Amino acid sequence: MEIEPLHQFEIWPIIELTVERVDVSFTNSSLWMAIAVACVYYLIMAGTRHHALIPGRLQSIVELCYEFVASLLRDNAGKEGMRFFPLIFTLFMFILFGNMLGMIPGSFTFTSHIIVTFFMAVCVWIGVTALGFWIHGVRFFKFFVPEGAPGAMLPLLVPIELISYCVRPISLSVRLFVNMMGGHTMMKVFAAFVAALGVFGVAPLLVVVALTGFEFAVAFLQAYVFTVLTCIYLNDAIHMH
Amino acid sequence: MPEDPDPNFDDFDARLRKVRETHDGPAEDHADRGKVRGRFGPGIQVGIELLAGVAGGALMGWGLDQWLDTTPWFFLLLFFLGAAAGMLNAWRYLRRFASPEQTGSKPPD
Repeated sequence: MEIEPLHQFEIWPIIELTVERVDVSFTNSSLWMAIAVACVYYLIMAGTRHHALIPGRLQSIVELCYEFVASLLRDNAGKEGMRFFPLIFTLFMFILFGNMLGMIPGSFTFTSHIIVTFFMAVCVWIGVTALGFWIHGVRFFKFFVPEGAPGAMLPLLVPIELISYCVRPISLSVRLFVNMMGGHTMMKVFAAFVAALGVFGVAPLLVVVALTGFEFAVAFLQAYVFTVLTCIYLNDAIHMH
Repeated sequence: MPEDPDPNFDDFDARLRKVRETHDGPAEDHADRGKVRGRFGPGIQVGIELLAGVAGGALMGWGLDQWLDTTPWFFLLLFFLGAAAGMLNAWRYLRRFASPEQTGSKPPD
């Protein structure tokens, strides 16, 4: 029997499309992104339809999401950060639904592709850097000069700070991608053992059950971590310490 | 542990808030601290941080070398600086996520 734990990450076009020799096909990845956006849109629209003082179930979910992201942003980026609430909320919901929809058997997890997470991280990074320069002007360069360091050390410390800043989108995107891809691969590997071992497949089956629960936690946690780090970077750009 | 002199739960919220305010300062104050609750397997996260530093530094150095035709000097330099930056990031990550009590951040300018 053949075990293909990486088959689930394969991208295939649903509608093939080429513009100016650039492949812009609508793929299974695009499909699941569209589904994620549609789910978030439906949840928010249906949840806020009644404006009830005592919320129903859907409205409670929407209010929970709002409160969660709002307090996250306020705790990490202060009151000034609340201007960027729409961006942060969209980012969190998109990643959360991407991760969670990926838990449906047979679905596709678009956050398990480095290019997707890297693009999001680079967008955040460029936006935050531009914001820093927009708010502080040239003084934002002082962000790369550690406070209280002796002048002789600066030629060494400033490049290190600069690289540590430039590397942020890499660690931000790799973290989300590695966690999603690693977990899903592991689940597939153990699931294949269940069939291969016959009666003794009970043991890997128990592992798969535990892993499934663990993966749900990871799906939420990684959306959370991505959002928190975005808020922290936003805080750096706004307050510069 | 001392006995609670006032075993009454009616004003528990108010008393808790009072204790918290004297302990943490008013709620407004710690809005700016990069404070995160909980710990999520810091090991692998720190590994990613270290790796990203080295890989990012090496990649930038290689790009500069290709552009300025100075192989291998920028690569060598940025490889080590990148490793240092990775350690710096890992340390910051640990300080922020693994022990949220010790965020050494100062209030903003």
